[in-house]
Formats: sequence, structure tokens, C-alpha cells
Amino acid sequence: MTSVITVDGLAKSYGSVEAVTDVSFSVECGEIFGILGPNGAGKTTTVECLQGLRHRDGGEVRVLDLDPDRQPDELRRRIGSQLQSSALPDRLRVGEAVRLFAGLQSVPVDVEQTLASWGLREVRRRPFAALSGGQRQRLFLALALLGEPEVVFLDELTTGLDPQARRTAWDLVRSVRDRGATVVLVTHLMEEAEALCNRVAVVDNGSVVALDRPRRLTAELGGAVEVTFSSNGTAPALVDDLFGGLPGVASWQLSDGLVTICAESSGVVDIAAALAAHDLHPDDFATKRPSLEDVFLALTGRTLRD
Amino acid sequence: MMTVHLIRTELRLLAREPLTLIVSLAFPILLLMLLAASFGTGSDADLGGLSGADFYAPVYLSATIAVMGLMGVPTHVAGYRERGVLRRFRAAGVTSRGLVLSQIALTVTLALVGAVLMVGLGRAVFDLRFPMSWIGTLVSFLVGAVAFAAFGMLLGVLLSTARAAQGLGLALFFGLFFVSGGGPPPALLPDALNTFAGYTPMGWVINAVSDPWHGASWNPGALALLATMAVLSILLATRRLTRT
Repeated sequence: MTSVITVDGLAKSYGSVEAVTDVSFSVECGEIFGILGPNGAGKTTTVECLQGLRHRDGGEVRVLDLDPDRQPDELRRRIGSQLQSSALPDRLRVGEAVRLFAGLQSVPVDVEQTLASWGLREVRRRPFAALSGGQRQRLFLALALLGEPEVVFLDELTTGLDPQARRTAWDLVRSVRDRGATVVLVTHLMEEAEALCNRVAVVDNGSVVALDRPRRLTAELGGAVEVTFSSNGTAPALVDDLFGGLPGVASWQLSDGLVTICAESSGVVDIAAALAAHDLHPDDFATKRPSLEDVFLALTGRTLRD
Repeated sequence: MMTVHLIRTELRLLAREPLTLIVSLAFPILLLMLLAASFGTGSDADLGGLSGADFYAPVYLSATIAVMGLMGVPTHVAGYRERGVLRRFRAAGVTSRGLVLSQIALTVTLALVGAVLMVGLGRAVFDLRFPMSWIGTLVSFLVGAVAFAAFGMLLGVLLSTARAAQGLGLALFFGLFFVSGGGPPPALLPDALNTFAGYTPMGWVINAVSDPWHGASWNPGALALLATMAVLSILLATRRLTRT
């Protein structure tokens, strides 16, 4: 694996406000790398510095072996961007936008093919202002991927999309990766980071507080797995018998006919086996694994949505 | 190449929303017609022995430049900036220089269209006398147009909202234009006001365009000031765009 992006001690202030104080990470070729954090954590500033859209105050940044501050034009020819809260002129039509941006690429672009592959052919004559949220995102993705960029930055890709459109967008991101590009995905949605990212940097107050694969983060920092099922009249004493002695079970309780057990992730199978051994088959047996939300809570004492 | 793409796109967008363009082109022409009609076609002592149309034509050619540079460009560019269009363009590889140059080229082209319309209509309706020096008038007009377009670009990238840009543009235009000879003839204005007007960009462009229009002389002083204004504005606007 080779690194396409290395960031070391990145810092950026706006006046007296320190947006990014100390961000370091590296992104491997061909992965979907997530930058997850609440609003105002410094995510957008970080990726804007990586794209040469803002000058950093401190630290070292290399993207595709280029310095974004000193070689911004060279760099932008090789990357694609979908920016948070950006827009196109209201009256610019879809087809014209693709043609305009295609003309800026250093390699020839098949405009028809682009419109077709992003499902934009039917709306090619529609002005930007009249596009739905989903259509705008598809257009932005199409523009970001013109000219086959080696690295694609996606900032809050799915904000404002309904769940259906969000899932479609996720599929699009995976297809971008499958085409061979490296993706940097900025999001404040932990479901998105969990669903898409190979690795995630959790950012808070301008610095990285954790960095690993989502599963490893949740397993190591997210706390216990929660198992729940209906007791169906099972006596509390029996529940105690059944689970009290199981390895990996941290605690259990029975209230309102619902058994809730906190256990290590490896303990879930033992719980299920114990139930089956006593011929108990509750039909609402459910496990809730810790999420990145829990990881963030454990690391910062706050929730992502705060 | 990039600049050509952008200009073509902007022209297409303007054609789709012609009202703004028509108003900014028609406004100076209508005012000129109004003044020419009220002063009549005879010579007037307050206008240095010229007819209303002849006296005011170079002044309102300058107004065409100023309306676009002070009101059109800043509002347009600040609107782009506010909505994230500029960031979108820059992220796609449009350079700051390409953005600045395309907006200037677009504005100068539109100002030229307005000037041709104005002179043509003035000739047809008020028997407007053509400039003494075509080339002098054209060069001065172009230098003035570039200077005001560049300054408008600078205002557009400095101000954070389209509304602020519109307000400041209006204030600058009306504040400067009517004391610089766009309203009452300078002969009727107090000396102090005329001296002040000579120090403003509006005064420079009116002097630069009027001198070759009325006589065969150029005004190198005013042209040098306008050229300096153009260069400084282009440099500062480009720098500002690159930094943010």
C-alpha cells in the first residue's frame, strides 16, 4: 500500500478561532477514508487545505506528492471535489455544466457517456435551480469524477438527502472506489462512516481523537454489546441462573418483561446457546453492537449531534 | 481556453436572464436621451457651446462603464461567492486568474455593446457628432472599462454578500457620477466639487473619454491612473481569490 495523502500536524486558524489545531493522518491508495466528527470539528477546513482551497498555517501536507499550497493548479487537475454548500449558477443547465467542466480537464471527456452513467440524460436541459437534492448530488458527483481523478474529496455528500437517495449515493461512492480512485469522505453521520469507510479518522475540536477501521474502533472503544429479548414469563431466578455465570456477560436486568444483557461481543453466542439449551426461543432476540456514536461519546463525553 | 469557456457560458446565462442586462445597458442610454432632449440640439453656453447630446455622450459612455463595473460586476461576483459557485469553479481547476480575466473580458464586451448602441441611437435621434479621434476614444473607453471591471471584481471578492455589494455599488455609482458631470454641467457646479471629481476614478474615466471625443487630444494622466487602477485591482482580486 502506498500513501496518496500524508498530513502531519496540520493547523489552520481564522483570526483568533483555531479551526484545526493538530491533524495528522495518511490515506492509502484505493481506500475510502472517512473524516468523522460533529459540525465545527474542523473537517471541512482540513479537506479544503488538502485541496489547496485554503492556505494552512502550519504542518506538512502532501497530496499525490504535491504541496496543495504551492502547486494548487497542478493538484486540482488530478483530484475531484464535491464541496459542502457549493452551487452552480441557477440558470446553468445540467448538460452545459458537464460540458463546461469537461472542457477544463486535461484529458478528453465523453460528455454523453457521463450524463448517461449518472442518470442525468433526462434532465440535461434542466437548469441547476430546478434540480432536486438527489439530482444535484448526482451532478456534483459526476463533475467531481470528470477526467478520472486519482483522489476524490466528498464533503457532506448526503446532507439533505432522504434515506433512499442516501443509499443510492453510498453505492455511487463505492463504485467510485471500484473504478480505482481513492476517496476522502467527510461526514458527520456515523452510519455513513460505518457503511462506507475502510478507515475513519474521528475528529473533534480540530484534532484527530481516534483513527482505525470502524469495526476495530467500535470493538475497542465502543463498550459492550447489548442483547435484548422478551422474557415470556421466565422467572427472574432462572434468568439469573442462565446468564449469571456466562463468561463475557457484564450485567443483566429484567424489567417490563424484557431481558437486557450487556456482554462482550464474543459472549453473544454463549447467550444464544444458553437460551437454546433451555428450549427458550424468544422471537425478538436482538443484539445491538456499539456504533461510532458510542465511540465518539466514549472519547469526548459528548454525542456527535451536539 | 479556460477563459473562453467561461465567457461563453456567462454570455449564455445572461441571454437567458436578459432583464438585468437590458436595464444596465438601457439606463445610461435613456438618461442620455433625456438630457439631450432637455438641452435641445442648439449650442448651450453652460455646455461650453455644445449641444446636449454632444456634451453628454462621452460622459454617458463612461456611465455605461461605471454602471457595469460598480453595480453589475460586484453584485454578480459576490453572489457567486456567497452561493459557493466560485469555490465550485476553483475546485474544478478554474484558476483565480482565469476567473478574474473572464469576468473582465465579459464586462468589457458588454460595455462595448452598450457604447455602440448609445452612439448609434444618439446619431439617429439627436444627430450626435462623432468623436474627433475614434482611436483615442476607443482606447480610452477600453482602458476605463478594464479598470472599472477589475475594480468591480475586487469589490465582489472582498464583500461577503451580494446584498452588501449591491448597496456599496449603488452608493459609489450615484455618489460619484452626479458630481463628476453626469448631472448638472460642471460649469454650474461649485469649484470645490469639480476639483474633488477630478480625483475620483469617475472623473478620470470621464476626462479620458471626453478629451479624444471633443478634441483630438488624449489624456495621458487620466489613462495612467486608470491603468494603475486596473493592474492593482486585478492583482489584489486574484490574490484574494487564491487565498480564500
